[in-house]
Amino acid sequence: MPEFTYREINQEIMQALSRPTRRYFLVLACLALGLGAGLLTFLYQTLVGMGVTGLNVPVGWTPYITNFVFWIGIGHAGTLLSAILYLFRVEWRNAVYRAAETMTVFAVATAAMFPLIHLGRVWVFYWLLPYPNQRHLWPNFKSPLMWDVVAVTTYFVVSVLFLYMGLIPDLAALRDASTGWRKRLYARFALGWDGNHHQWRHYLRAYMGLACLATPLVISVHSVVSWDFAMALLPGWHETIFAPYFVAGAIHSGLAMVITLLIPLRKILRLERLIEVRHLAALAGLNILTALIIGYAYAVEPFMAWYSGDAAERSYSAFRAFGPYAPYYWIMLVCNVALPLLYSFRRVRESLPWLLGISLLINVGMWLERYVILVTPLAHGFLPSSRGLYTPQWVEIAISLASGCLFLLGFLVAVRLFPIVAIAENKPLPAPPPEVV
Amino acid sequence: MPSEHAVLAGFVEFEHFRAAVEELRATGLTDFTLYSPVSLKEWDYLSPHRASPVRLFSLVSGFIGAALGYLLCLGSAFLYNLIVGGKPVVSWLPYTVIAFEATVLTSALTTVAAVVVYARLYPRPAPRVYDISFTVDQFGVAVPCTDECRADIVALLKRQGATQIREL
Repeated sequence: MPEFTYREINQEIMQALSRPTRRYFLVLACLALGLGAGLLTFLYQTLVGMGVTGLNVPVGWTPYITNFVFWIGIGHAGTLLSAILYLFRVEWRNAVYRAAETMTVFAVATAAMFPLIHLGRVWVFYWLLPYPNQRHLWPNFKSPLMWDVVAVTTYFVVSVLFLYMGLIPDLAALRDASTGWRKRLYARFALGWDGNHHQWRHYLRAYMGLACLATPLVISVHSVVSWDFAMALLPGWHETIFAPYFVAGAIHSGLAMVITLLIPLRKILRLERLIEVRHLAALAGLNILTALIIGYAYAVEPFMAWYSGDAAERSYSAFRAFGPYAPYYWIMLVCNVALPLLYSFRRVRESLPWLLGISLLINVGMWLERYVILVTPLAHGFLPSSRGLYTPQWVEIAISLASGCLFLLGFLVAVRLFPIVAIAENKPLPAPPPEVV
Repeated sequence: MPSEHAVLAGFVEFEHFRAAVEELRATGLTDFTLYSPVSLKEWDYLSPHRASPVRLFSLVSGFIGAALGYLLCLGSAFLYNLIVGGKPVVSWLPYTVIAFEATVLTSALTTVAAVVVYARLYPRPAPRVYDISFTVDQFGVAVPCTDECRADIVALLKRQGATQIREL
């Protein structure tokens, strides 16, 4: 980061919260329109029934569950950047982690809607909650679907708490610099923070504690999501590699989404001096690592199908690579493994058009990965009698696109209300005295 | 701040702030409050205190959360038996997933509750002994004092390079 005084850092970040332009409101209106269309479509699906979707026997689990896994995955970068890199004291995290955390909260909220949309009879969703009831029914906690409910809820709550805890000192700075309704808003949420040493002492201990809790949580959540599939006996789902494969994939897509969002955002909010190209290049560097991990997982799957000698696995593997869904599979391989490896070249890693293009394609590839994981095993079970193809209908497409609108709408509103770059943490710490070192 | 009177000083340079705190301590004063716009590594050095008890709450509530997670699963299983293929009603391994999530959830909520209580974080009007520059670029020290010692403290803080001094 260029040499900033503390005051300049405050000013630089707070100017991004100044009154937005008309174009900003136009974008919000378009997103709200898209969301509204999605809500109407959902209403239509609820009134008419799940028959309006392309879901049927044997493919009954996509694309709503595809979207669920995709958005949960997007939500993984926030906790990685804020918790894990915090514990490792990675300096460049400070410029990007707040944006990633904000993204996480809206991505997980978006994801959490999809199991409800997928239910069909959404009005009975509360049957998933464990409480004494007149039906004398209790949820079965041996089911991975129940693990999902608990894991995603926990992840959402901890992500919100972590985001909010990090925001408190910055909200106090905003409170002190604002007027009118913003001052009242920030004063309420700053919780009387004045930066005294008692507050800092307890705050730092709590922040560290939350980071320690969030780190295993981020690993566990997508592992639990992967077990939705891996606990089934279906070829293509019943694989022990699924948990690490899903976690790496989640981080891969989350990092790509952070890059995709930050490139236009740093320009629009005039934060180029704080969110530098080197920060984006560092994210791209992590993308190389995750691309290699999921590349390994992609290679292991067909290898194990061949090596195990299992006829069903071999048949499924061939179906995935050469069947009717093969184009998605190969596009996925190119987008998720081959393209991110271009980041190995410094010139690509430090070029904004390349970064934006590749990160967008990674997101396309990661959505396709989830689509392939969901559709192909269901479409190609053990017996020919249990096989069938799936074609999405306009209802699923509209609801899926609306979920993107919801995510972007929430994120764009948040970036104009709260600092998207941490204020306190971006101020360089004074050199500690020799006694402390 | 127990005393009604106080001297509040702001320092732009951290070195001056640290020197002022060291001199205050050398004169025997310990009941002062420090302010900083950043999280300092040297809080314990500048103002020695017992370690924050927040982490104890995190740990204990984590254990309680794990126990509650297992209890929830066990209770559900016994209240609504789903015996399939003669398998036992209780299955520890899947319940560990729920127990783990309950551990993290309970511990995180309690950690935040603990910091809210200990750091006294709740919406309230701006305190009397405070300056908005403490969230921008100044390190602050507030020293409670009587009328007799006020002049000495002001002189000390000025000598150490305070950029602003307010007598409250």
